[in-house]
Amino acid sequence: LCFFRCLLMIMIDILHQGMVEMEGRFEGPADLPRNERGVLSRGQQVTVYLVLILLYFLAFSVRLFSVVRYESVIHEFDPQFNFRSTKQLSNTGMTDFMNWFDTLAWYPLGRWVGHTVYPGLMATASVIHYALNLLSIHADIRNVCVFFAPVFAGNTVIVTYLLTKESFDTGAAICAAAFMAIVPGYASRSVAGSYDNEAIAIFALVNTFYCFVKAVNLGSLRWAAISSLAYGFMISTWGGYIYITNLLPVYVYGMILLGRYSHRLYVSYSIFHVLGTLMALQLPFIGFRTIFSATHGLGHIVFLLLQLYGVVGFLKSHLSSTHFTAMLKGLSFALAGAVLCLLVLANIRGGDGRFAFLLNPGGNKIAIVASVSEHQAATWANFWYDLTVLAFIAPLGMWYCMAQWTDAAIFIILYYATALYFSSVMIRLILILSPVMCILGGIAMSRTLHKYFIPGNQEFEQPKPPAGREKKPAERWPPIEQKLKYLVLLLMTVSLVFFTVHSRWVISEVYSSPSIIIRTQAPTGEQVFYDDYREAYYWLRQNTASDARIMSWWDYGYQMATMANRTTLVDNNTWNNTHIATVGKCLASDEEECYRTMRKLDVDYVLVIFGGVIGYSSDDIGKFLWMIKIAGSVYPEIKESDYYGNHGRYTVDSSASPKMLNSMMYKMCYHRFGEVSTNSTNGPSEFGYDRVRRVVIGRKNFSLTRVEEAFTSSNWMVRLYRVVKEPNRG
Amino acid sequence: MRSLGLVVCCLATAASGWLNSNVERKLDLSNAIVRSTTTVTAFNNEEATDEYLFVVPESNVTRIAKLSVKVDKQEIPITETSRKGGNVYYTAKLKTKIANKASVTLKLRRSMVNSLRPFPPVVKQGESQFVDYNDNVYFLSPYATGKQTTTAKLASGTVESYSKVPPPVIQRGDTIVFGEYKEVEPMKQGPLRVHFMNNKPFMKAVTLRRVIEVSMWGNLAVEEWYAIENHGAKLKGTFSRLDYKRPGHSAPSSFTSLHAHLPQAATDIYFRDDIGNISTSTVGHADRSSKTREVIFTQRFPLFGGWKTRFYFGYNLPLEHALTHNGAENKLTVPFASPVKDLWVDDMVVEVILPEGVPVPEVKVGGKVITDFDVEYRSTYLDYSGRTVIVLKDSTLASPERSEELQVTFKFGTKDLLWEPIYLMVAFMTLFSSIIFFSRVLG
Repeated sequence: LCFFRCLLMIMIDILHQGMVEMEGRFEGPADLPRNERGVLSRGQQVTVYLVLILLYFLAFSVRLFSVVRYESVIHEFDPQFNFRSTKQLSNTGMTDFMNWFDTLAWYPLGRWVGHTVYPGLMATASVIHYALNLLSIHADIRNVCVFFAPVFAGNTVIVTYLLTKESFDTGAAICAAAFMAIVPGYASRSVAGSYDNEAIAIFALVNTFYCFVKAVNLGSLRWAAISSLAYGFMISTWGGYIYITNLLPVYVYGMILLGRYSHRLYVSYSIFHVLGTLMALQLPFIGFRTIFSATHGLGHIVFLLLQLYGVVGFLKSHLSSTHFTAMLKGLSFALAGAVLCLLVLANIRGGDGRFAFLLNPGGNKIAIVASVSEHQAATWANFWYDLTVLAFIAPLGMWYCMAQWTDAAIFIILYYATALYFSSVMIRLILILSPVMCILGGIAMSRTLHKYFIPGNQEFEQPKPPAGREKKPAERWPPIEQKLKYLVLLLMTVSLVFFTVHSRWVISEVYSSPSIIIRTQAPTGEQVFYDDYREAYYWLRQNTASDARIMSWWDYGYQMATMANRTTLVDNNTWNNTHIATVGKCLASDEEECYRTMRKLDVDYVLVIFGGVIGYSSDDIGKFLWMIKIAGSVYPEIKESDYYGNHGRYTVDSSASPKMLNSMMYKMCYHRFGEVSTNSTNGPSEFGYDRVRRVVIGRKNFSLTRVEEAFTSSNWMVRLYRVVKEPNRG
Repeated sequence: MRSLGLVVCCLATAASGWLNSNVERKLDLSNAIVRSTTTVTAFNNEEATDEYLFVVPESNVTRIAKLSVKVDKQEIPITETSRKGGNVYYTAKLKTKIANKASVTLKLRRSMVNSLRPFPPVVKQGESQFVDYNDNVYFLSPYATGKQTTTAKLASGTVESYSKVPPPVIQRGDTIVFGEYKEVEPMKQGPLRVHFMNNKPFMKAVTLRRVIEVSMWGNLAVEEWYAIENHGAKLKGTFSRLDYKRPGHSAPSSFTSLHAHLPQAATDIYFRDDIGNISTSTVGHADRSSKTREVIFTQRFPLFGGWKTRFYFGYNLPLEHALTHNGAENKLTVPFASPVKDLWVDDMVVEVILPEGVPVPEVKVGGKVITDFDVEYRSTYLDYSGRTVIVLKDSTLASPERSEELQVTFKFGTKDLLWEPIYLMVAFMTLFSSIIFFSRVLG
């Protein structure tokens, strides 16, 4: 393993340097005549292919840190569910999967998985798995899922290249592809093991844009149809498809306003909209929402508008002006009436909570949406972290786009503007922003280098132009700029080097953690792995009845279903707020009250995550306030203020409120913790010292009567309690 | 009828004419597996013979993991001859005929599982485990015995109770000596009972699947899948990590690790379960004398009585350590049983995956030719018709007590090795030529 690791590091280092050099050499392809797209010499073509293959490989290998540092394992929460569904899908086939009713989740309600998922990810992975098996390559389905995201990252690099090439030129395209390969904002969701919808959806997104831009550029029926197919793929993979559904109408509408209406645009959007809507209807999870939901309405309106614009334009060219005015009047009356009827007849529903939140971030938040950290508003630090220098050079790229002002360039500008807005509202959407940042960064980088270092102006590059040459270039470039160009070169090189170094660091140190295994450094310098989650889940899997029901906060539902193979009450598919609130209320109330709820819900075991012994801060006590908030949104008797201590602080020490100290959550986390002595940060060992909250807990000696400790993992991170059943009467 | 049967039985046994002049029986009760060694000095009363009979109660037969008889440190073959009156008679075939009035010393070794009954059957976390052992106080033999002693070695000196008849029965620390008893009639029985503390891990593999894959390119891949259970007294009530970690309070009869002796040349050892890697194993230093390497497989959680877990481990071995060949004739020799120490295996399946195209081979276990095995064909990398797989099912309590070797002799010539590179070459040639074709002719 060590050897492999070294090899990989060396490989990545070489690739880095290679890439920096490559980026230095990008003037090569970039100097091609701009309007003769695709006319490359044989040698240049080979270079481009070679660079793309290397970039593919780079995008793949830079995402393997998690496998090298940890192991080939599925990460976090949602990927666990996707993995489990993929196994189900490849075992039963598509039809049965669509009808799959999952009894391990949402006890006693269950979940109709087939109709509540975007199956694109699972379907793609099981097709790959099936194909490999057909070729007698017996890849384990887990490994297919683990390496799925890196492979699709490679594919994204290729489509980014194609999109940039379609809207700009080959030089910018290669630059953009290179950025795309290692941009942290995208790598964050596509490292090996991060088997989530986003891993494939960004590929599908860029692919759809590429096909659509190509369709608009060519006005081709075929490409419009292909782009709707790409859109169909996108729909099947991620809820973010709604972004495309609304961005394209806005683009078309904007084009009409800008007076850039063309038959190409008409053909592409009309075909795209009709076929795309049909595609969306096919997916059970979306179904008729695509017609009646307000989030899809814009597309229909713009589609009608486009038809009208086309008809009016056609009539105008065939009618005299008086006839035309009369007809226009009649038409507008008819249209108004039709729209009115439609509004009355059709039951137009509002958008969903998350969507409404996006458009009006200041509005009231639904607790469960707001409680997810990736739904918070992005700060400047997030942008810097995920995009680094791209955040600075992208506006430059936009400036170049404005200078060019083609249909494709306008599309890129619009994409940039909207994605920038959405990502600043919700951190998660930096993912959507990353591709356009890379494209604009690529354009900026390539154009700037192109401008200052055109090999066509050979004489300019040499300090002393040989005699007999024309003086014209020298006149075009005043001496001050001649000196400036070295500064520009220096800046560009520094920022590129910084970008690669920073990206590699972020990907390897921050985004490659599976989060079910926690790695820290012991004071002695050696690495310590905390594998408590799997320890407890595996204990559950092996040593409880196969129909045991386990209550825990929803964060751990997917993991438990996959790793422990046991029934949970709530999970990460937060479709039933009331059920989650009931669990929250149960954990927040006292033992007797909680016991009544647990017996009603048939709970056999309760699981809590506790980090106080090792100092793991994202434990259940840390999340407890959210549980109270969510419970309070459904059950008014749970009041957040009851759980704050003397000075309005949220604490577990002796100043904590009696409600807090009596709550089931407190009791289960700190049961017998008062007998443990842990080191405080700069002091002697103390009994009952919580290393996360950095306080000595407020209540040490208490016993639990309604539940008994069933298992506690080796570092106390996972604590499992068995619910004591009432004895039989008589 | 019953008395008649008994008479017939006595007549049948008395006819053979042996006399056990001295029997020394050693019962090792210090583990979960009961091992007994009985040294019998037999005296031939009648004409020369090479057959010696010994008896095992029928109820014990299913619990025997290993049964062997040695004369002068040489193992001699034993066969089951008959079942009478609830007993099973085995015949040991001596190497030479023993003349009238001559003596021979036989060493009987027997390993038994499931003989120590946890009593009480449930214990709390900090409590010790007590077990109950029942046996015959005499050495069960169809022949009369001159004098005999039984020495039971216990796991601890803490003894709740033990049977004291017939005297003399003496306890000294962790040993109890029954006897010496003189002039014991044939087939005499009497209860022997010991109830004592035994905190040794009661490890039991409910199922074990061993997969041995031969690659003629020089590698032997071994993978073993275990479903383990602690078969001791079941845990009652709560499990507290706090008490478990506290010195002196921890659960004495639980265990967390399994010790295995893997071949010294084993490389790439891995240890996983259904949900990923178990990162708590240690590979020890190689033991030169036995050519093995001790590997400690520490489980994710401690196993208390009644707790279960499943895992698998595997390793690679250079083929020359296991395969010898003579022309196209290859002989694969690997240990038959599990390499895990003190593990009682209930149900074992051994799969040997041979290269593609190998005809059904000859299989020997411990020198005996085995014919009742299944043959499957399994397709893996670069296979056309599938590899020959031999599936041996063994439910006769395979345990590491059994040191037999599994020998598979199969035909595979050097030229058969060429198929895989040929497949690859053809595949790549097709790929490249089609690219050339499409880019030159159509492009």
